[in-house]
Order: sequence, then C-alpha cells, then structure tokens
Amino acid sequence: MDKLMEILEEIVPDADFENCKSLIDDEILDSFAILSIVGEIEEEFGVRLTPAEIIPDNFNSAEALWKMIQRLRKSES
Amino acid sequence: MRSFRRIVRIILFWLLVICINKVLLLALKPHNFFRNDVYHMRKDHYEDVFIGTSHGKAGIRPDTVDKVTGRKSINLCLGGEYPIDSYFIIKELCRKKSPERVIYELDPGYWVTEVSPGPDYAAVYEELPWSPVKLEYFAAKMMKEDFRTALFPWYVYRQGMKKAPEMFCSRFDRAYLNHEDSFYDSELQSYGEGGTVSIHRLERPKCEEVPGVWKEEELKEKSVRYFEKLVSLCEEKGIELIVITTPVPNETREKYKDNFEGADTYFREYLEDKEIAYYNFDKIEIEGFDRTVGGFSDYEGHMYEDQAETFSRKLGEILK
Amino acid sequence: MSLISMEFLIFVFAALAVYYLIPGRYQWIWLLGVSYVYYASSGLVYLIFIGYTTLVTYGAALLVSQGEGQAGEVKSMSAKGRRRALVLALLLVFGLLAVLKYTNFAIGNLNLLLHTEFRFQNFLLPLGISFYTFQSAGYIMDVYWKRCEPERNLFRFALFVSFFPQILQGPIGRYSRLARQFYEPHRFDSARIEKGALRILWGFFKKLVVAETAAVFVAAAFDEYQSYPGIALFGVLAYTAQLYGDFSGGMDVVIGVSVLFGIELDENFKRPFFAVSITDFWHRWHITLGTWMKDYLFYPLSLSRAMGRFKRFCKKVFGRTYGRVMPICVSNLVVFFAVGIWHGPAWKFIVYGLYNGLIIAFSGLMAKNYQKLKSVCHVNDRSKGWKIFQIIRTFVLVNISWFFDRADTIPQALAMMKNAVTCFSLGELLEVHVGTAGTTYTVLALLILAVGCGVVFAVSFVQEKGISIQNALAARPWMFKWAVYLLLLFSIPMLGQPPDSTGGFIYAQF
Repeated sequence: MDKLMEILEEIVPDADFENCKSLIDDEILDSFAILSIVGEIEEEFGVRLTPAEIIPDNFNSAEALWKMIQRLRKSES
Repeated sequence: MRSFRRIVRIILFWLLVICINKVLLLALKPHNFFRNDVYHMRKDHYEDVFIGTSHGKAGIRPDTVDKVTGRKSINLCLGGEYPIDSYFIIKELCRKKSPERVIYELDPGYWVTEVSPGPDYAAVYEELPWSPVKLEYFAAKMMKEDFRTALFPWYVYRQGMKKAPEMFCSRFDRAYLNHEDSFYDSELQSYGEGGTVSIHRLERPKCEEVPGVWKEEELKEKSVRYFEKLVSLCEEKGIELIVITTPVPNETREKYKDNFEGADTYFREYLEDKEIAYYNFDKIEIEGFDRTVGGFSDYEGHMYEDQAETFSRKLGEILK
Repeated sequence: MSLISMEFLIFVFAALAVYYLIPGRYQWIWLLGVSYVYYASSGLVYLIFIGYTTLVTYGAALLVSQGEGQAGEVKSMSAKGRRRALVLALLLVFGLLAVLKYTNFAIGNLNLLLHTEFRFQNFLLPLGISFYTFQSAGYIMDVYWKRCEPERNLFRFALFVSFFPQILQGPIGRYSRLARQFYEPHRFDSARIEKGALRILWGFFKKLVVAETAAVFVAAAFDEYQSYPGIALFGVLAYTAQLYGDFSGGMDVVIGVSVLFGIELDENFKRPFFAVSITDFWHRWHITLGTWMKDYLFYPLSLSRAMGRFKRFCKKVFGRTYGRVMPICVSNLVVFFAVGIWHGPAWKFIVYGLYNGLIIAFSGLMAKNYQKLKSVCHVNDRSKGWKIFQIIRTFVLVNISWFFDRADTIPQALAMMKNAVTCFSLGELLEVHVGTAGTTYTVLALLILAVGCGVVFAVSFVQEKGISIQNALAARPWMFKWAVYLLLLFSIPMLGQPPDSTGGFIYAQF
C-alpha cells in the first residue's frame, strides 16, 4: 500500500489520495494519469491490467486500487 | 385542488400564447386580395374558373370574358400560385359545387422553380377555410417545412414591424370586414370585377428582371405531379380543363427566344398527349393588342388594364 | 425528418400521446415501432443497414458473453474464441461504415498517388450511421469486458440501436445507462413534460437564432474568403457560435424529446468554452464521442501487448518520466486521428484531429516541465487570473482548429489563418448581405447574433457556477416563469433566420 501511495503521489503530486473517494468522478485523474498509474502498477506489482479493469469503481480511491491489485495478484498466482 | 389550479394555469398559458400569436399575425401580415377571392368563390357559383399566376390576375377580366361567352366566371389567379396551390383551390371549390370549366393560366417559370417558405408561400393556404381539403393541403405543403411556417405564420412578414400598429387597426376597418373590393385599391392598381387586378398606366421605370425562364432540364417533378393531380380531379368531376399562356412583351420573347420556344414545344406536346386544349397567346393573333413592352407594366409580362380588356375579349371568343 | 420540421413536432406529439395512454409494459414496443417509422421515413433502403448492424451486434454480444472464462484469462480456448468473435464482429460493424463512408476517399488518394483512374460506385450514406455504429460497437465491447449483460431479446436490443431522438446526431449512448430506462414503465408527469419542452425550446433558440444567424457571416467569411479577407477572424469566431449553437442546440432538442418520454440521455456538452485545456475541452465538447474513444480505443490500445513492448523500449531510450508518457502520447495521437476521420473522409478533418492530438500529447510530455516553469515564474495556478488565462488560451487553440474544420481545403484554412492575424477590416461585415432581394438587415442580424451569444453565454456562466436554470426558474413565482417561457418561445420566430437560409443540422451529416 505504501508503494502504491508513492506511485500515486509521484504521478499526481497535488491530489489528496489519503481521503479522496471520487478520483474519477471528480475528474482528478485524467486518462493520461490513469494510464501512467496502470503502467507503474504493472511494473511494480507484476500484474496485467486489461481494459475491463479500467472502470471508475477500481480507480475512485487509493483503497479501491489496492483492492484491485490484490485481486489481480491472487487470480494470477 | 392544487392539480386543478395547475391545469387551469397551463390552459391559461396556452391561451395567452395563442392570443399573442394571433395579434402578431393581424399586425404583421400584409393585406392580400386573395382573401376576397376566397370570399367570392365561397359565396357564388361560377361556371368558369381561372386559376394561375400574376400574369393571369392582371390579364384576365372575367366581366369582359363573360360578356362574350354569356357565362359566369371568376379569376382566382394569384402571384406565387404554384400547381400545388391551383390543385387545392379547385379541390376546395369542388367541395361545394364543381365548376364546368377550369382555365389554367400556365407560366412555364412556375414549372422550373420551387419556392421555399417566404411571404408568398402560404398565401393560398392561409385563406382557405378549415376543411378536410385544407388538412390535406397542410400535409402536402406545410409538414416538411420549418415548424415556424405553420405555427408562427406571421414570422415571414417580420419586415412589416414598423407598420404593425397601423396594420392591426386596419383589420377593424369596415371595408375590410365587409369584404369590399375597393379596400385593396392602391395608386398602382385596383382590385375588383370578378377578381381581376387592373394595373394603371403610370410613368414609372419598368422592372427588367424576368424570373424563372423555362429550361426543360430544370422541370420540377412536384409541379408536374400536382398538375396531373389537377387533370385527374377535373376528369373525375367532369370538369373541362383548358390551358392558356398569356403573351409576354416582344422584347422579352426575343431575349429568351429559345426558352420561350422550348416551353411552347414542350407544353404543346405534353398537353396534346393528355388531350387538353392549349392556347399560347404569343402565337394567337389579338386585334389591337400592343405586343411591345409599351403595353405591359414590366418586362415579365403584366398587362396594363386597357390591354387586359383587349386580351380578355379575345380570350372570351376562344372560350365561347 | 428534420428536427425543426413541422412533421417532426407532430410525430413526437402523436408518439407521446399514445406512449402515455398504453400500459407501461408495452411502452418500449411502441418506442421501437415509432423509432423504425422515423428511420424509415428518411428512406426505406436505410433499414437494411440498421438491420444489419443490429443483427450483427446482437448475435456477437451473445457469442462473446458465452463461456465461464474470467475477463483477463486469455489462455483458455473459450477466451480465444470469444476474442475472435469480438474482432470479427467489430470488423463486420465498422467494415460497413468504412466501405460506405471512406471507400471513395481511399480510392481518390490512391489515384492521386499512383496516377491511376479507378472509379467506384458512389454509395448513399445511411443517416446517423456513424452514431449508431459506434453505439453498437461499444455495446459489444462492454459485453466482452463484462461491463454489462447481453440483451437476449432481439427487439429490446433493436430499440437500443434505433431509439429515434438520438439516431441522427447522437449522443452516443451506453447500454448500461439506457437499457433500464428503455424497458421500465413511465408514468405521465407534467413537470417532466415542462422540463423537456423547455429544453427543446432552448435548443431551437440556439439553432435558429444563434447558429443560423452566425451561419450567414460564416458563409461569407469562409466560402468567399477571397472577397472578405478582413473578416477571417470574425468568421472563425462566428463559426464557434454556429457550430456550438447548431450541435449543442440539436442535442438540447434530442435530449428534451427523450425527457418527454422519460428517458435521460447522456449529456454531450458541458460549457466547452470554459475549458482550461484542450484535454478539458474534449471532456466538455461532444463528450460521448470523447468518452467512447477513451474507453474503447485509447485504453485498449494503451494496454495492448504491442504498446507494452513499446513502453519498455521508450523507458530504455528516453528515461523514466518521458518513457512512461511517450506511449500514452502515441495512443492519444491514434485516438485523435480517429476523431478526425470520424468527422468525414477528408484530409482537413485528419489535420483537425491530429492538431488536437498533438497539443494534448505535447502538454502531456511537458507536464513536468510546466510545473517547474510555473514555480520559477511564481504562477499561482489556483488564482482566478491564471484560470482566465487558461480559458482564453484554450479558446484560441480551439478556434485555430476550426479553420481546418470549416474551410474546404487545407490551403484555404492556412490562407484564412494568415488573414486573421494580418488583415482586419470589420467594415466588410456590413457588406455581407442579409435579407431578401431588395432588403438588407445586416446590422440587425449582427445585433441579434450579439444578443443571442450574450444570452447563451449568460446561461452557461450561471450553469458553470453550478446553478441549474430549471431549478432556479421553478423557485420563482409563476408569473416570472411565464414571462421567460414566452420570451424564449416568441424570440425564436421573431429573431431567427428565415427558412430559405436555414440549413440542416451539421452533425446530422456525420
């Protein structure tokens, strides 16, 4: 989780990832940011994301992202 | 109770809309003698009915024609009247009692052009009384157009804004309300005598523009279609259909020689095929008729009243 | 059937009357019926095309939804089969669009390149095909990615493809948002009718008063750009007014009509001229096309294996930061190429798309550098001044793109851009003839355009502050509300351009 926060803060420095639960709905993350995050996650956690995962539910908060990563890790191991 | 108040309020709102719309129409729409044409046509029965364009309106004098033929006729021609309008005028007439003959004054220009909604577009439509015929007319002419043409008919007359109060008041003029023909008289022309417009001889420059000269390749399917509907209607009602073309000044005929000759050839063959009598008065000798532009108020071919008298006598002889 | 024709109003009125008289469970069947009648009224032959797209997507969705394979499991056989079915279906659906819309363009360019003289049959382009093709293709992908369940009833699905208000010019809908609304019963609600009617009126105002008045000046500035060099700048600004009034006005009518039936379509516009960047602009202008491109082209492309390899390559060559952004920029350019060509088969549209794509890619690449630059120059990017600067900058960039959109050729666009900065002569505006033969209303038309734009701007400004005009009106006394309704209603015939100059909707031709 700390690693994820690090990635997020590097890509979008001025967002409040601790508390915000509507990163997509409030347009804090644009498509460039989303793809940058996806790229870093794939590299860091060794998972592969398909377009099916790119939905607001998975990206609206740091917590949701973390849940997705864990789910993907489990299904791939 | 609340919903009742709400319904009343909605009804009131729409009544207000209708009222404003009506007032705007009365204030902006210019007077058109076709209102009286329709009034006469509904009041009396006529054996012969002339339909067609502004050329016929100026050239055909029913009183003069009737003196020769001994019949009773009315001139229902109107500037901007296309075959579709002619068809619905006759259809409306037949609702009461069919005339015996319909004389269609043909201006080839109206067969090669199409109008988009403008001041003339709905002139005939707006004057006809409500009936199934008018509904059919609505479907044919108004449905495909911009909704403003049908719902806000005043909007094509917006240029009359400056004279709106005056126009509005004139709607309550006794002469207007009583359908007096003299109401439509002006310095340039007078209206009356069976629906004819008499153009006075005045010293003024003559318009040289000739709109819509004939070109066969530009023939409009819609004009043909409605003329043929008119032909079928006449057949069905046992009405004799006659087609005439009024003379144009020599100067114009020279300038557009091929166009006028082409139109004559085309319609002669077309109407012969349909077994309809066709008289082109450019080709018929009319005694005492001035064929130069001196006899017309413009180059397009609107006759002066005295010329119309001469022309109508000849027309009467042919129709006898 | 044009949205501004009398027959359309009567059609909607009749459809609506029956809709609320029949039992709720039959309402969707009635909607399907009227939608097909509406579509057939533009030409019976078009039914073949929409029928084809409907059947292909319906069948394909059922196919790709089969199998128990989880999304992401590409290894199992059934997953491979599903994938093949998806690709085949997309080829079939987009193939039709490509053949009908782009064959002539492709052959023309081939001839130019190889000096050959191939000829090809000129196809008629079915109305709205660009819109319903995209909507259907999005549905297949949604089913494939398990974002929604496939529809098993062919007729219900046919309504999704053909729903009459949106078929001519969008918005491009999503099955997951629309399906429930289509099939659930709707009860008559006069407040909803009022809401829909007001929205329709507002759309007509934008189209007939703003867009059509602007169109007269746009026509002079663009179609006779050599005679009116001094108004190139005014011309492109007027084109902004025309395009926005025309497209968003059309959307208001479409969305308003849907509201009458109790169906809320996606919004296609969100005050685009308040955008602070080109990216933001595309989040506010033709939104449903933008999100379609993002979800169904941009993400899949960026996440593809090929792009993954390219990413690793870029990181090696350009370093971490640029290497990460570079592949995204490439996908972005592909997307905007697609946006450009979606508008039509012409190089100017491709330039228009790529221009937008390049700006977005560039600002993406430079994001880090901008941050540095801003801190060096002590720019406070939360200040009002900075925001206004951004809005104006975006507006200028957007207007530059319009030259390519509206001009007939690229050289014309370039010549006009040059005129816009070198040649000013607003006096030429008065030479533009507005009115019928013998009457001139040029000054009046300019005044109407100014007032119309002012009203639209004021409304947008209020909405941008987060205030809903409808709610604000509802809170006022009824007399006030009436006055607003009457003003709006009568301003349309009073101030709008007469019909002999009124054209169809611009986006209905795409």
